[in-house]
Amino acid sequence: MDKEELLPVMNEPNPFFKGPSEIIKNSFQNKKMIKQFIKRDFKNKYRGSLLGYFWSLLAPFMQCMVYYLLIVFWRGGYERKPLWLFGGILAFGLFRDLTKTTMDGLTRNIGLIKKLYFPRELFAVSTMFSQWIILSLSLVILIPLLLKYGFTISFYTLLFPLGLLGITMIALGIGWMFCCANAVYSDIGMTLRYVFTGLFFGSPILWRIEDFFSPSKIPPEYLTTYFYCNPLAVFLTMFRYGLDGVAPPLPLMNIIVAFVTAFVFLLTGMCIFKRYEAGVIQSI
Amino acid sequence: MPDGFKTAMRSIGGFIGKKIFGPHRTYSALKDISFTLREGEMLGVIGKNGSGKSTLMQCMAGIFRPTSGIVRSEINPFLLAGVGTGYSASLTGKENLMLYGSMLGLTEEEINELMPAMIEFSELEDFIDEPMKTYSSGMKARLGITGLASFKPDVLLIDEVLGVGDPTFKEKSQKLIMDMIDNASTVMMASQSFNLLKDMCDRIIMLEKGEIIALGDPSDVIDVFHGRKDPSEVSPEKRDECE
Repeated sequence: MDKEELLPVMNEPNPFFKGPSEIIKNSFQNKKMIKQFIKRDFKNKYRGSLLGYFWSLLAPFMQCMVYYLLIVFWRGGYERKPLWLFGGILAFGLFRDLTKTTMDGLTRNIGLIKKLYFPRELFAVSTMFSQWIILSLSLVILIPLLLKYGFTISFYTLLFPLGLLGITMIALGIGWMFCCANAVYSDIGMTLRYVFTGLFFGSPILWRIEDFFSPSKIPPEYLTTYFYCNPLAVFLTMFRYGLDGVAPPLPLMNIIVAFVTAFVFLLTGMCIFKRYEAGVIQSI
Repeated sequence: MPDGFKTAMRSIGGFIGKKIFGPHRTYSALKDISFTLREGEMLGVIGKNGSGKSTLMQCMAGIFRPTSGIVRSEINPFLLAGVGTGYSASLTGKENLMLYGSMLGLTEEEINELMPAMIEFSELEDFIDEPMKTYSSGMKARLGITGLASFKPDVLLIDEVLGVGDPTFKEKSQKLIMDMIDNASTVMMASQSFNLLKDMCDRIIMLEKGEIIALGDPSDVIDVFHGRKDPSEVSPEKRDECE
């Protein structure tokens, strides 16, 4: 055998199912770079604006106020509505922004990718942390509402971070699944805008489960089917009831199926991304 | 059905069919490339614009995956293809140096230790805390090359970057790149500066339309480029000798 044939092959196509382990290994090995990307994303986000990081509070607050005035003054309010509305909008914002930035990761950073080699999944991993930090800052707007309406710290408060975890898993999974295809065909990104709109109005953000699933409207037995079809609705409901610290109207089986679905999305997205990312770079 | 409507539907159908099913125009940037970059060697790469030099280096650096064939290496080569790679216009000069240092594998502590020397090298002391979007092109080039000051790769691929900045800084940046070359054990360099390649390189590859036309002694290959020698005169058995 020639000496050259003993050398390892560079940039070999990943076996399809090795994607998740490669991404996790590369993320741990490149923690310094992830930290710098997070700092870069943060500094770039509000650089040049007068209000700076205060926009992390102001932007979701203004969005929530628009919907609050529309929904509550038009349809009338109920106890705790502003809290539920604001919480749902923030959680959906995390899903939308994380999915979009993961999917655009290759195209947004193509100048860097074509000059310097490093694992490309680091963009999505750093975005995940950036989005969590932005969400944490935005949650400050909920504090006055929690104080006004009261909240209970109980076992069900755990649903709040679990709901966020589920949203993160599904967002990363979908983002990675379509990242390579979106790099070649921007139609996918354009289509996603309308998918987000459909999910926003189809998930319990501007409305409550009991507004529609009642004996006089959609029979409550269809609620389980609805949750099976829309795992995002499960995580949004967990997030909101976790803020309240009370039990959600969610069968345990729905929660389990939602997490399994999110996990499958995440693993599939990781496999597809690692298998095809090196091949699509020259097409961008 | 009216004839005009049928014609319109046929046109639309044809347009969509062509978009999806082709034929699509494809282009091979590299064809039948096979050579060994030996340890300790300095290999030059010459060729006209569009001959495939940059694509070759990007494949060797792991940035592109070849559509067929493989690249084998023990070490990931570092590609120097431009300065200011990954720099963000909104960040300050110092923040960009921190970011680039982390992309080269340095810790925050290491970068902080090197920062005073890098700022002095860049000659941008008064502007280092200003956002890069306020810099002139010469200042951006200075900052870009400064980021490399601390990096000493073992295998270095240089894609037509030999000196940047205004004339007073160019000499300094050329010295920096020469130091990088001296520190690297193995170098591959694409350049239009044939005299430099003749002096420094052990062998030169000439590419044309993605194919290796000649590989061998620097003077011979440069003569092939200028049409003074035939490629077959650059001894074919010298191609891709294995040790």
